Amino acid sequence: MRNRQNQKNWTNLRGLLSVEEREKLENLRLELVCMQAANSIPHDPPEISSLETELICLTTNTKDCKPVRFHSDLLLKKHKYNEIKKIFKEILENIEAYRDEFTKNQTKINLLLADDARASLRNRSLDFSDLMPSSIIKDVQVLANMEANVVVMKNALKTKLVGEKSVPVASSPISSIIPRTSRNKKTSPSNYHHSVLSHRKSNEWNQVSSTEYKRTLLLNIKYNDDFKATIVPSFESCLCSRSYFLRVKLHFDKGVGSAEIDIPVQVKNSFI
Amino acid sequence: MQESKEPQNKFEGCQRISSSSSTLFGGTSFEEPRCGTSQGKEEDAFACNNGDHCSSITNVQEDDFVLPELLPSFEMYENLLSNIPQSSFDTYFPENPPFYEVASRNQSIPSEGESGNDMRILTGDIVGPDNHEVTVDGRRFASGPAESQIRNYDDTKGIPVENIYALPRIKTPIATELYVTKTAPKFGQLPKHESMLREYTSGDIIHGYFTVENKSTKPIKFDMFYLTLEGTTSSKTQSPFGIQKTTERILRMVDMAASWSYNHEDVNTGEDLCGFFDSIDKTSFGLPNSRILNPGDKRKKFFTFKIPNQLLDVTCKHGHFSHSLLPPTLGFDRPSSSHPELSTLKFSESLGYGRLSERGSSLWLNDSSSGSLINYSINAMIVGKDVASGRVCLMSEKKYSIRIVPFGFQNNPISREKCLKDLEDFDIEIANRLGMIEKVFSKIERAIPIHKEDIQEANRSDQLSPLRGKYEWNAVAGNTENGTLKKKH
Repeated sequence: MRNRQNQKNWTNLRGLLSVEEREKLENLRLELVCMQAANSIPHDPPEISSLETELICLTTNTKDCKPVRFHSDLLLKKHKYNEIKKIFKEILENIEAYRDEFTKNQTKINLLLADDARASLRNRSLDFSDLMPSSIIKDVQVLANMEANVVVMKNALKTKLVGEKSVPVASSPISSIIPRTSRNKKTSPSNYHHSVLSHRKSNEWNQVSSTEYKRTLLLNIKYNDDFKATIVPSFESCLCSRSYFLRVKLHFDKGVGSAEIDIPVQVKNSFI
Repeated sequence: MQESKEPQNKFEGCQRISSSSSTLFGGTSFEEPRCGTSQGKEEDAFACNNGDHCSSITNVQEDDFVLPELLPSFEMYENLLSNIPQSSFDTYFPENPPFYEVASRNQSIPSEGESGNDMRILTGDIVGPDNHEVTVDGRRFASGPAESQIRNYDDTKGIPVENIYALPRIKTPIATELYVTKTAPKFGQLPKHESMLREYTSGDIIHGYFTVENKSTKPIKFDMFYLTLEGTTSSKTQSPFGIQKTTERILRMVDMAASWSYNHEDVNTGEDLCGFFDSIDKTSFGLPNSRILNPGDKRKKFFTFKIPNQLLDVTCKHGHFSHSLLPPTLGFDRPSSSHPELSTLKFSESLGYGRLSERGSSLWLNDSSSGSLINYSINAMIVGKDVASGRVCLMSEKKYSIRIVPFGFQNNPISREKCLKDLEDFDIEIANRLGMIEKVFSKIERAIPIHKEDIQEANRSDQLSPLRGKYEWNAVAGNTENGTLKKKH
């Protein structure tokens, strides 16, 4: 229940969004490429036995504002994120070692100051903060001690593989399904681009060369109404931030294995 | 320089401002929400002279009333909002607000219940160059009281409003209650209270009212009453000294109509409603100018807040635009074990939330907060003197938590290439500075004089060569990390 004032406010807010920002993510198009091994006899590519979709929730915490905005992929992959922290921990150790040595030789340094250096300091003694300001040291500390927490929400989404006949080729199906009012959330792809191969048939492997096959999957995605957790919209602030990914897992039959892809999405409060 | 762990405040709900967030307040403690779009200023303001009057009180507060956007006068902002007023001001300033007319020394300004000497001194203070002469004139009328008043004014020091969170708290018989309603409350009507599950978004208007009651048998004097909408963010990170919690206050909006001031007029009508009796809840409207709460006299006032679209630019010290957007409510600040109603806190799996039975408590949600905490609340704070110690303290404090889920404004994430480039640039800047320090060290060993260019950044291009490719994570086999900074031994 919203009064007229809030309804008018919501209409104004919706008007601020661009046309593409108003779109809701309902269908996801995946393109698979299968390369046949050169040392194998020709055979058909494997079929998909099952498909899973998970919502990955990434929360970062820092003790101050980060000097650099981070790409979500750098924080999701643990080895990349640990590598960045390791680099800045080493820098921090270097700075502390230099500061100790500077403190030890501070009297000697100030005796060696020439006249032009002394004038630039306005006859003040040279401090370590003149060469390495404390704000930069604090920025290094922030990057060395930031934390990223990854939570996998397995049951947050419902995914259905759209069949061939229900979706015409080269069209962009837009579903009229409106999510529940209490959700007020929208997922939209931010870095995902794809092209429609109009001459290909959907949901089947198409041979494009003697050893290469391609396949296009169309996934219909919506929120699971039975999911009880609260999905907070994506945001960035000085001390913490929240990002989301759509993880699609494909399992193949014949013991081939599985494939996995993480697609960054944004959760927004754009729909009533 | 390791930032020390913040001391654990013994008062529940008290949010300390860490030293790293000192740039947030800068020179002003009054946070004005700002719109980057066509919307104008959004602010609850004080209506000094509202021209349009309505014939009936009940007709005024309709559902679609327009929120007034007025600014305080400089005197009001300086005396009441930028600094915490103290009752010792009254011995110099009269009870009435300052006059804006500049009167000559010979003109006598009539003031009900006040002596003429105070008026002359006050007008003299406004006219800066003549201040000294007026003081001499003041001595002719009543030299003793005039001098003591002037000296008392000089001794009075303002307490910045940022220090209100560090004031000691005392127990007083003042009972303060906060209510949030669906629509603007009206006299003579039962208010419809807002649901605790309400989620506000950008631009929404929060309506409500508060009541203040002195439960004792003696009058209680207070100095100031503040009603604010505040937002804080907290994060927990691991440090060599244990878990470190950092808290930053990102939003502070003051409802100047609901806070105490010298005015009598209601902000919506401009009418003098002070003392108007509401028979529904047996309250009187407004807080008296004398700043005295009489026993049995229950006072009430209405408040209105508009959720801003974004925060001030000074919120982020690095100037990231995405950091000046409102973050949503996140996490749950678990009450301390000494909370009297802690036993009522239960998380319901079927409903998906939990909360205390106390009105205005925050919701406990399963939102994977992972050490992040973002809170928004409406706060009522009464400041006054402690009778025992004579110090300024917090006499009463009440908080009403609200949930904000801001609108999804367009906020493009940073690209991977830009992120890596920014990291490289930051790394290069530090490497250049470390190279400068190394150069100074080498000059010490050889006893060579240190010149101006050795300690300034002008010749940074002559320093280390750029360490390109350090932050690329290509999956190329055999890619080795080169250019690691040499560690000084």
